[in-house]
Amino acid sequence: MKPKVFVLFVLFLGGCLLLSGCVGLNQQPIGWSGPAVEGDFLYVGTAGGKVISYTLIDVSGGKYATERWQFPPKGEPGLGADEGGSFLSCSGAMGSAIYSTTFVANGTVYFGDYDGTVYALNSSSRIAGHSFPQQLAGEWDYPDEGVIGNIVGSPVVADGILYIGSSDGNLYAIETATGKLAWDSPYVTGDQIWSTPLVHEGVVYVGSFDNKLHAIDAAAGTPVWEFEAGGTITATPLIHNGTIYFGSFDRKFHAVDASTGQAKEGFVPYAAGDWFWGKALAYDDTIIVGCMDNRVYALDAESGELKWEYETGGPVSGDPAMFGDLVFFGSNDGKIHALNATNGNGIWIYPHGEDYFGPMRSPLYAGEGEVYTHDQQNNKLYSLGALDGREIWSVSTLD
Amino acid sequence: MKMSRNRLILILAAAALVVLSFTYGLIDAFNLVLLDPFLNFLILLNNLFFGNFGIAIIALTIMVRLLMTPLTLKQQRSTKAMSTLQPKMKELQKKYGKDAQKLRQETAKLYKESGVNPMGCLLPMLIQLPIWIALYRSILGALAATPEALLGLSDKLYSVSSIYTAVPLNPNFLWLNLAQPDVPPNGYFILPVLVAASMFVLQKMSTVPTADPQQQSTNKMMIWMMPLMFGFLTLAFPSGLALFWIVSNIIGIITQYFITGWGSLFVRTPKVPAAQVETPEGAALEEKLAAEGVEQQERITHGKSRDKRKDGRRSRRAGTRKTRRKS
Repeated sequence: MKPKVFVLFVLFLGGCLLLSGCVGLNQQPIGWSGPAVEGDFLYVGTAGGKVISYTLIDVSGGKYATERWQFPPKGEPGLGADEGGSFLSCSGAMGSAIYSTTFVANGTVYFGDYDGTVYALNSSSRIAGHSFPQQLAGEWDYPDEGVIGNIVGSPVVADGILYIGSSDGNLYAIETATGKLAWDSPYVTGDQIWSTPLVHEGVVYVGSFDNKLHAIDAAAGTPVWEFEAGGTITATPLIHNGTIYFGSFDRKFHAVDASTGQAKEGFVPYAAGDWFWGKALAYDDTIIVGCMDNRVYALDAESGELKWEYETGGPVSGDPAMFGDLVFFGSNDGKIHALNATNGNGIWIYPHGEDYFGPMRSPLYAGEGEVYTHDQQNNKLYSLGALDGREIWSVSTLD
Repeated sequence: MKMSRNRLILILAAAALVVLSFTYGLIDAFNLVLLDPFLNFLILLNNLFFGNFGIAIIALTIMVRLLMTPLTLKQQRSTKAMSTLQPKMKELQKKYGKDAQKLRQETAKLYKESGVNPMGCLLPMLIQLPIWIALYRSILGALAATPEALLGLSDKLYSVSSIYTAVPLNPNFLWLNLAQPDVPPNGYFILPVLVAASMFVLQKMSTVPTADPQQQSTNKMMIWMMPLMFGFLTLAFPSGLALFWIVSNIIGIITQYFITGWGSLFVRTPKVPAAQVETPEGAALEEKLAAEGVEQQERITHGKSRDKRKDGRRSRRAGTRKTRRKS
């Protein structure tokens, strides 16, 4: 082979190697971790595989947020960076995205990363910059070796046990004190679990890709009942007056009696134009839910009849939030919509006009007159005035 | 003026494409006409094959390949016919190289006399390209390798309950997770090797023999680089796509076999020094190889028996041996 051809050949191979690692970039997970607040501290997961804690400051000069700690620490690669995602992946050094919204209890932050590890972080240890895990401070990761399947849903903690679903089809119950499995074995469903579990009166309710809503004894991990819908269930179930409400990929919104697992009598499942992905909210006798057909529906909690609907410019998949009689939805149109929960009238939309966030898929958090939202695609966290939608502060969630 | 039926269909299709592009935008029109139908049909096939998405991919690839066989054959025939004209083209270039207008006229005359349409290999390729892109993208889309991809899938699905409730699809097929590359820790590099090997065989079979050293060099590069490139890409792409490439290559190999037999698969490319082509002997060799192409061309056109194909292979081998001796 001529030297020129040989050099070209080597360059070509090098280019192929580079290309083969990067072409999958548009297939890389971005994540949709929402903000969680405990006291004056806010926690959020990032696209780069980190959890960042901020201090919320409210002084006479105004409100703002300052970074408190990062896990893994600033300057270090994100979680899952060692595993590198796919073979030869360009994004391997960045870490894997976080979809979990953290669950915070008594200064301990629980979440799962997309690679399939569940973490418990202690804020004091993270501020001090100690190595992870500080077991005496209640820190752990699960499993001890390897990973469970991809984690897309969020954890929930009740009575000292953390519940989290995984793409391996299992629901895990982990003792928060030790980081060990609380049940003899994980609860096995027929397919992936992306739904965040709901724990109520000793029963865990969780949806699965096997089209079923599973009710499981929270202490023993044994089945109580299961309800089969016509499609995948990614939504976190809502309990209201003894009824479980959830939407499914069968494009229907269902109501099930929490004690029997039977379809609620008198409630006609509401048929929409696309999948239901996110969680619903209850406001008096109204259930409000976003749908992938770009709409927000308000249904009568007893009959399932439509009370009002509101149209956004894109699919609504993220979990909503509520403050007073206002309900807030993020839409894939890149806007946050504030509605009057009573009649569905639009109160404000942010950003205004031709400005847009990235697709708003993260769950929202509302409290203290503010709505917190995470634009994970653009790595920015925002605080908006709940009543008027003005931007109060914003911070970057990049390392 | 009399217009052929094919030309009329082509003009109508182009007009429809322009109207759709103006109405929906080019990408949306592509999605509406090609991508979405492929995607939804693929999901229906998945249901038909009891939720086995691997078999659905294989079935759809075979269907599309079969439907496009007339276009593929036309393209291959045109390519071959063009290659047979190369020696004469070279002569014309030598003769009229300085007079561009005369060269154009004489080239057009040569095409006309030989009954070869220079666009004949380009047009079928242009028609096939968007179809292959749509097929490829529909497999990627249906696999929805990330949660974001699954979210984005919802507005592409038709309002048919058996389609929108079938998603997300089961990505497991044999040892593969079709949404992930076949690489460690969960894979074994089998698909990247199969993609590269099948593409190498196809490239080798479909390469038209030539005595032009420059063309030989290009052919050699193509024979090695295309399989290597796709092999490397398979290291990062979902296995579902690799499966599509393998099936597509295998069908390509079978089709090629019925056109040219094993072609150049078991033949080493003849090495001809550049100077030799300029000599009368070199020109004669080029003529011979070109004639061989014509011979194959005629067989395609008239559908001659395999015996003759064997004869062709024998004569080609003989030609190659002669070439080696000369070099």
